[in-house]
Amino acid sequence: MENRVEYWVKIPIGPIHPALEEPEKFIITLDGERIVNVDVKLGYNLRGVEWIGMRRNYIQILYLAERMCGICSFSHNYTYSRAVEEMAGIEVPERAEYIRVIIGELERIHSHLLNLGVVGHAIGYDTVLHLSWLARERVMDILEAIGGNRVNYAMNTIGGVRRDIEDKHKRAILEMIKYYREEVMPKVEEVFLYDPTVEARLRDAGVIPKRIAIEYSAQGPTARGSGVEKDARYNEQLGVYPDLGIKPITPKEFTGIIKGDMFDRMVVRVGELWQSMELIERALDQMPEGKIKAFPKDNIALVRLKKAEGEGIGRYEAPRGELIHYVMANPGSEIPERWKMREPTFPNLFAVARALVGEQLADVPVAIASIDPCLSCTDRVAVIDAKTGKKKVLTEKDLLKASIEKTREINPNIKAKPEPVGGTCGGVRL
Amino acid sequence: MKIPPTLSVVLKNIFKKPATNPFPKSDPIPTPEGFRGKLVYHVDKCIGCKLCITVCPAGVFEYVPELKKVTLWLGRCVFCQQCVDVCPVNALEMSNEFLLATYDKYDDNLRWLKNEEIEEMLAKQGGKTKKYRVIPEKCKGCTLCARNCPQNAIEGSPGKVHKIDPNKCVGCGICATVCRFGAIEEYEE
Amino acid sequence: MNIAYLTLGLIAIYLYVSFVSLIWEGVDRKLVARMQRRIGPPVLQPIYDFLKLVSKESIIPRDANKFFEIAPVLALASSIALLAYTPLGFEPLLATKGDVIVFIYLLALIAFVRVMGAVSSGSPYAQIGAQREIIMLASREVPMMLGLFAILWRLSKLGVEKPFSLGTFYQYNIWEIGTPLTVFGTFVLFIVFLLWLASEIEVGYFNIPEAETEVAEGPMAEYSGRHLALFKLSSALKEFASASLVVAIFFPWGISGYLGLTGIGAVVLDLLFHTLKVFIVLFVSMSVFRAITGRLRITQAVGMFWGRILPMSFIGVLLIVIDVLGVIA
Repeated sequence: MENRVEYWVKIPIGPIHPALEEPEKFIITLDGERIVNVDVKLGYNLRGVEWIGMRRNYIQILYLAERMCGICSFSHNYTYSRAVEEMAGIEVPERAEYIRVIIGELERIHSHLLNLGVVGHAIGYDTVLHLSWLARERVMDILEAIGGNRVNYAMNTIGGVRRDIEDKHKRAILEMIKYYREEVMPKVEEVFLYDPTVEARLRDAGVIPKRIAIEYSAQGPTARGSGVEKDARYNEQLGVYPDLGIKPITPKEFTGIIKGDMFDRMVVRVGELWQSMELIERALDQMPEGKIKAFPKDNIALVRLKKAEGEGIGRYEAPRGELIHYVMANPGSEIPERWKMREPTFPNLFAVARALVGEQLADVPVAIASIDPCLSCTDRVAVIDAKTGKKKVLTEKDLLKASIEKTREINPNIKAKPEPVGGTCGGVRL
Repeated sequence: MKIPPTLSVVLKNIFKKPATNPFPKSDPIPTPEGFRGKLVYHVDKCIGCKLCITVCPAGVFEYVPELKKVTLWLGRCVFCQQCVDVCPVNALEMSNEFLLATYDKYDDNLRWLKNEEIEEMLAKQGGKTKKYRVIPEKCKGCTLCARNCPQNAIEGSPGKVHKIDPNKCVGCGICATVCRFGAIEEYEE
Repeated sequence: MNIAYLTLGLIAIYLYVSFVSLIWEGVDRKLVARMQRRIGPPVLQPIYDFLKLVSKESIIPRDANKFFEIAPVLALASSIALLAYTPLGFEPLLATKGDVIVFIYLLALIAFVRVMGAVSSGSPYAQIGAQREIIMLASREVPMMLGLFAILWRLSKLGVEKPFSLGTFYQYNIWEIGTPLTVFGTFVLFIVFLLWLASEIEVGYFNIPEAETEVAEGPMAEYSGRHLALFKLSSALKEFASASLVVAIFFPWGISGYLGLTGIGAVVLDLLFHTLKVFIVLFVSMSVFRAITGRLRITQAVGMFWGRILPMSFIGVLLIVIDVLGVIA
């Protein structure tokens, strides 16, 4: 008997692919339409943020952390300030904690609406994309009125928040919640729980069993959709969340059965939308009067931080999972010794890569979109020299030099001068 | 096969106005109060405390030592508003202008306290500005000063006496610091 | 018919249909955009796209073989040949008995040439797209052919000069037979034909071979410039011809008879009225369908064809056959 010849094809999904929002490479080995193996390679989105962070003082890193990601920018800001507050032992006033809860939940609403649209686009259902992103405009307007900008609403500072929520903002928030409850959420539920296309594509596809979710340490809605009750706001008893009555949401409350597939993850996100709206209402009710900052002027904070020593860890439940920042102090200097963050997409990607084996090719983009990848936060790059096999980590200076050379090679007439303009920053000439 | 629930929504939408704002043909949506737009700098209030330089994450501010004031390079601004918070005399505030895109890094719209204004203020200050000139007898023509001058104001070939162009000199003094023979002196004009 | 009349007629039809089908694509994109609360591209956009593509460089991959360049020309030639057999408000240009077989053959040939062109391009994305296209081609023609032959057989019982020709639709009409069994059977077949039309154009549930988010344009992944322009034009012509078939079977009534015109005036007026009906059928089957559905997996789409649409077609055919044979008085 002859051996069967297998025609296996290796297809790269990414780094540039119409299905992915951000660059990542999945090398998929296919047998017809069935997937045999998935290999994940990251590193296309490195920006050297930690290297820049080691040359900035505590206040400047607040804004650097915020700009690591556009959708979860408040989460990074918040987690970093919690880490520094824990390290230096700074006490945050209660009104500031409530304001942080409100802004965090508003961000969660906008991020989940965005993800609903992205999953709709990945299954070819463009109407859902446009209509849910249209619904998201209300939240962005509110965030712009409170924070001053639609993304990167720099609200946190070390020891409190920078802007207060006034009565007119409160009225606008309550109106927005009423609009969402009456007009947007019924339609979202109709589409995501009862539509034939959504049910046909998302049910029983990309299943992550509970055991794998625990082994690979999946986070956020990815884990909760598989039945693991993990929520950093609940387990860590963070800030004032216990007073507001928070519980992790699993699909059991909506459909009654937990299968761990993509449909369940979307149900968890819809459930979290309802929960965020309730939390915001309760927080607006219970918010006490008082001051919003621990230090009236930020240079006092810097002086106090110069004397701090030790290390601090901050955690928060970003819309994608648990986010951790670690800060270590350098006593006598305004620049921290070390700053490291771990973002939730990193373990989620590997969990979903493991879950895709045995599925069809058509499920790959949808599965990746359903874990809500945010690779701006994820990357580190290591360069392996093919001839000698040695590893070298590229830094920002190397990448900048290489990109300037390549630009000159491609287009020698380019007129921009890559020389610095402006002042110094933390003592280093930029 | 079920009828999808979006059918009624979609058919009603044909008769509604599109939700897009066709921006260059129409006006942009008005910004709310407290919007973080372009920085506005009141020069007279600045006292030169340099707190804004300490907290700016992007390096927008540059200190001008002779005037004891700062000058701004708004091409680097990330609109975080931290400088507005720390300034003790409220010399900075944020307007709601956001249409700032331009092709030129040195555009006038992106600078507060431009070079000409610095010159004017220096001239008014004491009537005199500090500049540097070469003492011909001591100059050995080693070209060290010419290589280090940030304004390229020094001309001369190796071995010959160098000359500083007084129109280009801004009085930073780097040439005097690097000259090994003490051949550069300060003067006021 | 002499050759000169035939050639001139074919060229005139070809120019008219290509212009009109590109305009319809623009109108369709504008309507779908309005359904999604957007503004959408200008109505003449597909014509601009076509002109732009024709003027760009065609890049030929290193691994492609000779068929890569021949395929677009063959596809366009098949589409033009298809136009000679399309009912356009009047009898097709080359109507003979049994020309419905040629029509179906040419439809399948266009899809087949696309697949051959995709496979000869040497890209793995194109290979996957080609696999999907072939299996959909094999599945979608079966219910349609069953229904079409049943209707033509029923009509031929009324005594036509060219049995099994597309011209018979302009002599007798399936609705005028009037017995309840036939009307109900025809209605069931109408639903089958609308779904067939959606899968022939590949929109909505059936946008599988050219799935842009999954395989980056599938069979057309390596085509650019002139070749892509020819493929797009042949798709647009095929779209119009398929919709013309549906209109001719179910709504063939012309208006020039009521207005009493004859000669060239009647022909032009019938053509315009036919175009209007084609637009309405395409609106329901292409624009609205595209806006309310997403994309299925290939296994689910094939399962839908063999498991739901084929039985529906059987029921419709059975009802018509019972009516003819008079089993139920």
